Amino acid sequence: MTRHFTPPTRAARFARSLLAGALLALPLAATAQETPQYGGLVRINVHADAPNFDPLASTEFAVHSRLGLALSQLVAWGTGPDIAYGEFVPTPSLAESWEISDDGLTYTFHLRHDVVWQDVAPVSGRGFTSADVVATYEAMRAGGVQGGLLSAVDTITAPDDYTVVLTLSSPNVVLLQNLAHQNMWILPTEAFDGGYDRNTTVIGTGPFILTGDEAGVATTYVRNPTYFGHDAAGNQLPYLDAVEITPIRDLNARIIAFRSGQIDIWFGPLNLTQMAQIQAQVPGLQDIQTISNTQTEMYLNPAFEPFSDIRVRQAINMAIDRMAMGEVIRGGGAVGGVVGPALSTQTLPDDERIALYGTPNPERARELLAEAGYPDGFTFQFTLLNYGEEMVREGEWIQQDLADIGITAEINIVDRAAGMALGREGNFEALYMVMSPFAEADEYLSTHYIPGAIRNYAGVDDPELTAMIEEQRTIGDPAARQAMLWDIQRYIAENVQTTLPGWASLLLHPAHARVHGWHPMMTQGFPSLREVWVSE
Amino acid sequence: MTLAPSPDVVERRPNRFLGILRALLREPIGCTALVILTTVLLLALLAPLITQYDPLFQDRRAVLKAPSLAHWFGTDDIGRDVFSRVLYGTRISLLVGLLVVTFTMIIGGMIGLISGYFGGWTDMIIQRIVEALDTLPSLVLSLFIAAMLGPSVRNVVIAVTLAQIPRFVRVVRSEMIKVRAQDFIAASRVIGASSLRIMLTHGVPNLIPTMLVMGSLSFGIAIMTEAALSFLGVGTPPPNPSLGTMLAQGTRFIGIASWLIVFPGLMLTISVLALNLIGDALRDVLDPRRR
Repeated sequence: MTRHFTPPTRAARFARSLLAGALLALPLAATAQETPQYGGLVRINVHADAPNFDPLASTEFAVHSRLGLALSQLVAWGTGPDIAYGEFVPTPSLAESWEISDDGLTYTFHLRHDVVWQDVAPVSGRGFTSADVVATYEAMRAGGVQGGLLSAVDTITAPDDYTVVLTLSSPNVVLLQNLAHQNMWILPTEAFDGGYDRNTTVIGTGPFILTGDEAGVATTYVRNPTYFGHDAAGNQLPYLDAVEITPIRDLNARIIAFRSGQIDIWFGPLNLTQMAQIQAQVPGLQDIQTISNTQTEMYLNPAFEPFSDIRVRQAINMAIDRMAMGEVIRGGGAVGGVVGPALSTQTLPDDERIALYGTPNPERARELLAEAGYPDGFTFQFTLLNYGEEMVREGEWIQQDLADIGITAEINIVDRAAGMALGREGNFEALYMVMSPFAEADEYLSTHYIPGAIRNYAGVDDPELTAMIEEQRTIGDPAARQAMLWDIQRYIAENVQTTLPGWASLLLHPAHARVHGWHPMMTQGFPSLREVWVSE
Repeated sequence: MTLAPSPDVVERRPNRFLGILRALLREPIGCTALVILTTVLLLALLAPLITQYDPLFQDRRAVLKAPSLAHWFGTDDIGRDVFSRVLYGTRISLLVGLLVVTFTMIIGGMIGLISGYFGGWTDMIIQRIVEALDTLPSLVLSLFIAAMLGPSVRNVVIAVTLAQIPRFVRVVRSEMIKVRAQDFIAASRVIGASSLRIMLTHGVPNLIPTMLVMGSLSFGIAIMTEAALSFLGVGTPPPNPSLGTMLAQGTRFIGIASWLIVFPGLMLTISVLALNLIGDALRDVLDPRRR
């Protein structure tokens, strides 16, 4: 049976919002009950300038976080108080609904009829059609940096002005998420036929119109009066009159700007100590915390003899007290997993993840070492990639945990590039690093456990595991796929046990009290900004 | 200016050091600095007897504890005793300083002696190399070398030594040129003494006062450079305690646990100040113009 997706009605969305509002904590409940107000300006810091505005030329966060305000995708990440930071809820954007064929090989998207391009020459407010989608995706496939996201797509056709059909050569359940990726912005056909320069001009269908960009000063936006989006109550979005993105490179300067109110919404790295200092000086600060979509991870190279025995790898896993480590060093977060905890619907449930990776058992670890022929332990070189002080601290913590079971870890700190090279060459005994930010379980699995994959530094080559990873990509039913993903993670914990997950730290997203409706999301482009409003 | 060279001086070398020490103790600043440095030295050497804590042991029930009777200088962010880490960190600092000064004196002194004694092309080539190295600030040069070699105590010693050598070479060379012009050098040549013998028996003894002053100042510089390299993450690797590493780690908690930077900072300041004051006092004692 063909699977259909149609968005909930406004009444249903309104009811869902009310339900979600009722679940909010008391401090937030007062805010949720307030009526959004139109007008005002919000300023966000992004700690780099955009070198250009061509979405096909670069994957830089500085580019795409800015483009997200002015452009739209076919399918978007849902946002809201009931959606977690790393949870992908496919939400209609330029496509108001879609159908997936039973064999999973044909995706039919029905486009909105009420979308017009921003009133910027040469497009000048013309209507949005399927030709724009086809032109964009074909250009991406031909030479865009995001072309790989469409690698599963065989043909892209437009039967009429408001329908787009994608056919696949083999089923791929992550296609929708790929289309909602932070680099998959839809541009007008004029962007590809020489109508304007994509590097300098931004014309989109998003909630804000980019009006200026001065390097080192600000990127400025005003409200797009013809934006197609509405809130749950049917009010036209966005609420804000204007947005400014301020590039401040220096961390201390950013903190000072935030404290003094020159920045309303914080974006970027911030640790708990810095947060505590800001909180002491900014009354009513919104302390929004999420779990990072990255985590530390420890590669054990089986080429180093002791690590070729899974009992030794199990022993190391059991020796590390990750829960205490995360609380003491990172000030909170979540124990890591084969799939990171930020992907709350795809990672193993918390209890099970904690049982596998957050419950140290040094006695059993010593027994395993003895069974493997290392009753007196051994010494290995523990290479740490230099991601900063907290990373070094985690290394020191693990060193003491391993010393407790008789294993001596000699810490060797290397810079990131050198460490990556060691990983690729397999020239290490144990490597401790931070995982790339991933937004899908398939990315975790296919980069770490498929032979020859980019992050398979430990050289995992398990045919049964490979088959399981390939199979999960074809399972369209979300519940069945989740079960399969969990089985894969359990299999890895029992039979592979490298890479060992570490800790996913807290991400801090403070915002001033005057800002309402702000929900940070893992994907770039500030998708919840269209529903942000300010109370003064 | 050096002490007047004479064979008698060479023969009475042991007494000469005692004489310098006595003169130093008569100087109020020198005496105070010597007492401070001796105290620091004793604290570092006797660390295992003074503190019951292993500087690497993490007491995870005592994280970021303020100074108390149990932990005199408090604990760090993973529960390690700061007093113990300061003492052991000072050991590493002093070890690095001692090794750097020793190697610098030997290598820099020898190159300077050769350059000053032989002159001509030898001198010109050595001095151009030294000038090229001197164009880079010593900290930058040390940082470059340490970053290339990777973080370890041995590599810190190599990096700081290489950065300090040019200064020694220049000073020793200029002193050797003065010594070379003395009549007793000509007399030694006439009676058939080899260049090596002249440099060792006449050159070295006359350079000792200068080397002592330079050495004490370089000791302080070496300690500071080791701390700076460790602060920047290319010095003493963790988990070994180093005053610079402790300062770097402590900056994250400056608002809530000031003891993490106050005590390592104080120890670093006191050690370097004492060494610099001893250097100044030695210069006063050994320079006839300043007596």
